[in-house]
Amino acid sequence: MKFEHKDILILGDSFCELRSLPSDWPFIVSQKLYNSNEETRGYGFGGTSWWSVRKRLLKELEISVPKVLILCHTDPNRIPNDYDYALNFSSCFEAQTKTNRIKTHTHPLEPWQEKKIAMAGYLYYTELWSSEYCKWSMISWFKELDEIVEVYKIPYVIHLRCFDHKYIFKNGMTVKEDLVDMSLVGYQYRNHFTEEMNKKVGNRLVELVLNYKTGLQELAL
Amino acid sequence: MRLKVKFEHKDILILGDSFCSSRTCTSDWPFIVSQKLSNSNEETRGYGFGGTSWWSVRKRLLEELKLHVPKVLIMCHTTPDRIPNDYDAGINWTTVKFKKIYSWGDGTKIDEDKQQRIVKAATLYYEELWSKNYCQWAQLAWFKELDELLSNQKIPYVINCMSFSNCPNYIFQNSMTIKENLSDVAHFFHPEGEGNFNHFTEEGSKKLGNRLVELVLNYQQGLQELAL
Repeated sequence: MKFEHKDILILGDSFCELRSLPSDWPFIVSQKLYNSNEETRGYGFGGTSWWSVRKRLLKELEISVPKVLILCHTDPNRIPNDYDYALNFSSCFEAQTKTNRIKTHTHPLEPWQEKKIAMAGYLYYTELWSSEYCKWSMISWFKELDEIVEVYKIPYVIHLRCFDHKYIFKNGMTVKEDLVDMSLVGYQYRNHFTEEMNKKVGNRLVELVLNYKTGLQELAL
Repeated sequence: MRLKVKFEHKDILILGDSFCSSRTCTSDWPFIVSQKLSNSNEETRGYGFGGTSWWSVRKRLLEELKLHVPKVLIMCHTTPDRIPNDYDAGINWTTVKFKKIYSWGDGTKIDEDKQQRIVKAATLYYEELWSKNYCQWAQLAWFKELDELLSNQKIPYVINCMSFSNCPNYIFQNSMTIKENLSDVAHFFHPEGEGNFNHFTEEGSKKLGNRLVELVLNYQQGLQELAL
């Protein structure tokens, strides 16, 4: 199978955010599949809700339909918003007690705005948040995604579970392991993995594309 | 009016928002529907969650289906903007603006301190985080799920009423969708307070009840007009 640069699309959260170094797993996947050193198509919205990934996927599909789509599905509890702000338990709670910043991706924030948004997120979690609703909402997105993959006839789709969820996609491959279980905390780790693990993940995903099967599959690193 | 089908009281389920919350008075449209179709004066099965998100209606529908699958289901689908929560509290633009979040969904009073915290949280949520597109998407996802659910449960008579004009423009596949938005039936709209029959005048409430009975008895799927 021959691929072009535009044929490989990798989208998701912080597990696929860093993609410029040859040892980053998204770089490895795109480099090995299309033999080019261009930066991998797509984006990793670190800390942000799946809603940002959905919006970006729909935009990317308007540009060109990829042949390989790899998605890192994040935690359902992050707060969907129109500006791709990284609003999650950690960012909202830590912004109240520490000097941590709310991460932004597409819309920068002034410090005064950031404080208000962090407070809005913190109060949302303490007074309004419903775990059941967030789970339902993400499962509904997965069902829609299954339809999108079918409608656009994307031949190779790999769904990576970053955190614990049990959904098995009808259309595409679902990787059994949760990425969080093989991750490490710390800014020195790119995509939450050691350099060695980044390489292992990248090489394994290339194998999974080349020996593609739908349904539940193991990374088995 | 001669009934083609005999229904029991438990066969008629009416769920939704404030457009179906009053159901004890003989002029309340839910009572009329239930009374005429089942010939029972018991309080109409179901609940109208005034001010509350569709999420509360979904939860209640799933509970009701476990008890008994109805033969007639009438739903009033509310505005997508309300904030889903686990307590069925009516958290929306208006209740937040006027600081009117007094009770949980089961009617128990919310203490003053908690009320203030909810109002502050919801105010900031609407100001800083709320996404119209996301809310529309979520309600549409619910409608699609409901369509599947109705198909699986094989409920023979289902009428979907949209309460407000900003509900997603959706026609249910496996049931009847009413063309008019209930809030747009403006000459029936009644200010809040005494004599308020689910936002209708007493006469409007009776007309709506009788019309819904007609629509059940002459049931057709797809888009149908109330044409009151």
